[in-house]
Amino acid sequence: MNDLELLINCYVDGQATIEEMDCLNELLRADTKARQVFAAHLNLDSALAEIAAGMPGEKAAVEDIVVLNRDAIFSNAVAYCATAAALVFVVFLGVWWWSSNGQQRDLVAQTAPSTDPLTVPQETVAAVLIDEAGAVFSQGMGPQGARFEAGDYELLSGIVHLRFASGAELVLNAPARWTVKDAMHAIVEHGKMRAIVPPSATGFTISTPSAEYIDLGTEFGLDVDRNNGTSDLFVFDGQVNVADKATSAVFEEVLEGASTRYVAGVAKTAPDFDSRNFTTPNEIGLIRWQEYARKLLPSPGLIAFFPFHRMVDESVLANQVEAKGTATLHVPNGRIEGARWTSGRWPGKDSLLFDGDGEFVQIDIPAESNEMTIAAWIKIDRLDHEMNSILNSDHADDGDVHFQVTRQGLPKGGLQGGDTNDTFIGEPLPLGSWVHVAMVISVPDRMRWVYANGKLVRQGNLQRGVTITPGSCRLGNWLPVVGHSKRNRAFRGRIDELAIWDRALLGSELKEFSQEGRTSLR
Amino acid sequence: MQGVALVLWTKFEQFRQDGDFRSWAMGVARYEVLAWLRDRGRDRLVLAGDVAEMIADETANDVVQLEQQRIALRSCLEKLTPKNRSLLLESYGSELKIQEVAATSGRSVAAFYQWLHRMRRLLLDCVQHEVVR
Repeated sequence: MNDLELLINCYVDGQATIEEMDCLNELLRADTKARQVFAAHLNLDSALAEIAAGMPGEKAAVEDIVVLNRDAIFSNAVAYCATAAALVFVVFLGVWWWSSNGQQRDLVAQTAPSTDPLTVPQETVAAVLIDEAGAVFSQGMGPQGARFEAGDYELLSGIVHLRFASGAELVLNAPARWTVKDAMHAIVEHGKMRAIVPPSATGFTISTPSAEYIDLGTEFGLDVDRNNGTSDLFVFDGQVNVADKATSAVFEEVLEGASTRYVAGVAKTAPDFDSRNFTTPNEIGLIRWQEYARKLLPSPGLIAFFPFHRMVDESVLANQVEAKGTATLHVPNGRIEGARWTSGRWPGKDSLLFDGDGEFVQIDIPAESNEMTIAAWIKIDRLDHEMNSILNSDHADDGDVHFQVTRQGLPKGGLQGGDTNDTFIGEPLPLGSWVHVAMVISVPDRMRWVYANGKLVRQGNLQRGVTITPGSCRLGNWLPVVGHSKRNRAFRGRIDELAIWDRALLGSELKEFSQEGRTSLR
Repeated sequence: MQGVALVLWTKFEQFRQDGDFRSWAMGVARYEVLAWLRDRGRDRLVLAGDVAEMIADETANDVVQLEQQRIALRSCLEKLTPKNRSLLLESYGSELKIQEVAATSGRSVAAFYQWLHRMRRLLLDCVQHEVVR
């Protein structure tokens, strides 16, 4: 081993003396080859450190950066300059990492523990969370993940939908306070709720300050006043018995279409049978989505968001993202050709149904970017063709985008001129259910990713970098190149919501969108 | 830390378009960060500013190769005996001090460092050879 290499090794080991450092600096200063060798050693050394740490390089770097930030102490003036520069760089690097993942995407997301309520052993817990919108619980009075064990709960704001082990379901609106006793009993101190009780849970009982309500296979609304315990009952379907809390003697049997009011066990004038907005399970999704759409609009890089609301002019697909000033990019509203308005992911939400060869939405995306994310909610009825288009640029010019699903149900996306080679690593898309699909292109990273419900299912390299210029596009179809095979790419199914960014979103961001737009936790 | 890392930062805009630079820079910067953390208060282990600048400039041209060497490292590690491999990774891990790892290998600290230098040379030859192929 020659002198240079010995010195480099000493440096790398942190063992070099001042004299040895002087010597090393001299050798490196004098000779290009020496600097090359040095760089090769640093490269190897840091790569070994990464492998030893057992984490992909970038994540390891961020961890250390966090440690650095935490431990930095400005002990003296000399150290200060170095530290300040270091921290500026380190913070910058940290931001850099967060904003542009390299090829180790989603490793963190994939290793995160799942909180899938379906894996909760339902026979041992009294009730589980099915869905929620903006739910905020009092400290220590909320569910454990998705589990509602026997105990007290208080909902400060929002809506929750929970299902008892018996099958009975409650949709509660805040403010509400209740106790889960067991699979067949709940105590409601105050709150407004809709109860849906299947035959399997006949006899499900809700106790309020005023009376006991025993269900006989039905759907009803209950509103318990916070101040005086007045309990109003509205029976939407079936029958509910109202009973005395102390003796369980039945006061009355209430049938559908009827309402009652009890205060401290005494019947009062029944309230008018009004809807009083007892939220249904389906509506929670819509409420959640409205909040999510409101939060989505300021998302950085968002150039188009089509919420798929039917307008007075039914041929318009409105883009809710407005142009900011005349100089910036504006994606105009889409023009619907043939596709029909129908119901979307929840009652009250619209979507477009694509069912014929000539049906599409004309969308112009005059962007010129080296990053892009295209995301949509789709529900596939059939996969009739080799390629079934979600969103395709007209023709096939360099910079065009193509986002489609193969006959086997594998989503595919790409940048024309990028010549991708890739691997598919997930499940085919389901037919007949709503799925969030997204395509992410990053020309600087030379990568393209496809996600389904926030999970990475396809990734590949772009062999060439071309600027992304989607231009004139068709949603649900493709304007083919003359003479091209696979000309018919008409989509068969529904599309509800389309969002386009001129940056590459992270898997974690897409996962969040797919979670918030999901039809329910189920 | 002030050396390579700061220079990398000032050169960052230049390299922004090149995706490969990132992972390499992250690796080197990370090493520098670690070294700095380790040597904080022992100011002697500082690369001269002009040297660091030259290295940053020149290695910008080699980023692809350097990145490929990092990728090749995994297969080169496989070529070591399991004992050597685990000893090597232990010495790079953060849990044990070098003295402890040296002791488990039955060597004095000085002898262990010599062994470590030989291992690095072995791996460097291997990754450089892998990349050429």
